Amino acid sequence: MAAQRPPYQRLGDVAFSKVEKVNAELFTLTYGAVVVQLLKDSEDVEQTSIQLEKMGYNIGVRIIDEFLAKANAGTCTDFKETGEVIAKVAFRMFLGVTVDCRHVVEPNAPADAMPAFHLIIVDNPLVDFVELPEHCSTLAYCNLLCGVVRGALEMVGMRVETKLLKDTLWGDEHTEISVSLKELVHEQYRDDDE
Amino acid sequence: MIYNLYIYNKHGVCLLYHEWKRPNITAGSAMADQKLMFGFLFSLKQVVNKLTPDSGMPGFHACSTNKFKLNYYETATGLRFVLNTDPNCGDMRECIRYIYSAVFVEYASKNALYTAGEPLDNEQFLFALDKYVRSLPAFTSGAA
Repeated sequence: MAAQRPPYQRLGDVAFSKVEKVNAELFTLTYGAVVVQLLKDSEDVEQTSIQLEKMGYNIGVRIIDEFLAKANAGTCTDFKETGEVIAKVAFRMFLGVTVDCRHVVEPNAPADAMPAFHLIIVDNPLVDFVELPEHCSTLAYCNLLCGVVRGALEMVGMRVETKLLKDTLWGDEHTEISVSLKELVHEQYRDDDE
Repeated sequence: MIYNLYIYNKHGVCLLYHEWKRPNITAGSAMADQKLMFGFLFSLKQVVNKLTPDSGMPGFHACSTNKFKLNYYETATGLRFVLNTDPNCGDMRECIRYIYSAVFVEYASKNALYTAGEPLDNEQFLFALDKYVRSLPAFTSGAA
């Protein structure tokens, strides 16, 4: 059976088996505590969502090196493949879950439109034991993940926009993150000849 | 024999220069030396990109002279590792990858006190690097 699985899934499994693990409940509860503290500090739901995304971004710019060094995912040829690698290898490696990647093609989109995909997280470990109280019902609880994806991709030269579209905490069936490519950033050097 | 190691970030800032053995001391400051090396890598990469046929990913791994060999590894995040050895050392890419994954990631990426772009002067980082490099068979081979 194992041989018939798509290669990315196997890469993800291998990467997952190599990384250090922490107890899932500890992880979930720690994340919950962070979010609660942020809510208390900023006293604003909107601000907390933004802050979570920023924290994620800072994680993303560091996590990418660990991913590249340990996952052996190779080089992606296009943005579609990037989506697959994030969904099947990266999420598996760091969160232990596999995620579905759906490529979105906008109807009536021009041929040179920037590509995008949605990451569909059915079994989201962050939301276990979580309920959003009435006054926080708009909180983007999993916005951290959006930030991580954005930060990581930025480090490899892809400026993307990420958005939490659906969340189980909002009553949806699954968590869904949209990732759309905005710009491919090429290397630039500062010319600082003295 | 392993001579020295340079690590650059994607903006061309030299994060680390470590020397084990350098038979030929260049004139000029360490800064000038690091810039010279980066300039060489930059130009060489341009040449490689120009010469590579359309099919196939451009990228060079090493170049050598009769006196030394320059082993190169670049990550997708733009980190560049340059390990200079004597010309008889085999393929050092695996070693550089190991330095990336077991030393750089563990002691720089995962270190909350390390800010990206700063020089790598963390003691544990240097200790782990030195220990690994000294353990390589290539470190002692070819010693005159």
